[in-house]
Amino acid sequence: MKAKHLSENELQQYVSDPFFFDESIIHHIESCETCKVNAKVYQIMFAGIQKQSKPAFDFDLTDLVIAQLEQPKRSFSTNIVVAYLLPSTGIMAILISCFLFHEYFSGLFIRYSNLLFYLFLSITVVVFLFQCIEIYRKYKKQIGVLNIS
Amino acid sequence: MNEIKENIQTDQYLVGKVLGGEPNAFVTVIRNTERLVTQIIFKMINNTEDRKDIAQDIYLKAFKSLPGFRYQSKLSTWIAQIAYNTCLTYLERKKLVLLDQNQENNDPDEESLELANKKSVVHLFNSTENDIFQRELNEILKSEIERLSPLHRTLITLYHNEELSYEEIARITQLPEGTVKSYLLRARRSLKDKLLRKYKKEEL
Repeated sequence: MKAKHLSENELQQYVSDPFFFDESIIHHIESCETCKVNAKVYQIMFAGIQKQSKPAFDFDLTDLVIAQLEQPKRSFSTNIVVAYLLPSTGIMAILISCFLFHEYFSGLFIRYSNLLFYLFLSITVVVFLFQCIEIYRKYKKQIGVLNIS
Repeated sequence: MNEIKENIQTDQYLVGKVLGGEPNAFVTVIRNTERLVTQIIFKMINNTEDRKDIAQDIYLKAFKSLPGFRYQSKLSTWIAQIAYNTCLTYLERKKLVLLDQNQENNDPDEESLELANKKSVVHLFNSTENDIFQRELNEILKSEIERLSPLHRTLITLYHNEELSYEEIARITQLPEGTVKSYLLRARRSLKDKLLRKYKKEEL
């Protein structure tokens, strides 16, 4: 059994934790008038806080918020059209260009010097890398905003 | 475990509906979380007019950020976190104090709140005047809670009134769980001392 009076922490734990089981503390409270009374005061206080009435607004928050919400931006059919039309147009454009200019493409790697080819390749890689970094940066920023809000 | 799964399923269903363009689903989200959000606003913001704007702002933010909700917590906890952050920003903008430890540490020491005084409170609680005492105690508690710092007020309410776990409160306030426990310990002690001091004064 504890000889000294219980600390505030022990008293609060004893009162608020329904699964609290520390024999030395329980025995102490049973035999110590001061700690018993202290625990009882906490008990009364906790019960009192629990019974406090819940605050409420004197207006209908739901109505106010819903009135301010934007109408859903996307309509299903428009989205579907955009989702399929854009990539298909792109693919079609590439295929048509390949068909029309296939003679020039075949000569691309033969006629021009290696230097020009590597220059073209390195520019493409650098631009692609910058794009990736930018996308990642934007993604991190948006996630950051969400975490804060 | 099942309860958590159910919560996630309900949240997923509601969020899916809102993102699918059904405003009625957001009405349900507001109704489900309004009580908790109102508690946070009332405990952190004293100005009645500002409370109205803040409440709307919270739900508009929640609506805009909903596509980014990742189900890492309950939807209600996530919205409560938005509520807490919005109130915090308001306090910072108005240069108001979230936690005034000096004010709450001015309470009398344990020794000055004699056992006799505590006994009288306990005695009243057990006496036949219980109902009157209960009402009186509730009033005193209400006014003493109002005098605590906004952070202590909020923590006390979320834990004792809304019965949230330490983990949920830590998520909402983005404080470590240990810090939440330590703040709650101090807040309860401060409240208990204020309560006893009040009774002592009234006896005199």
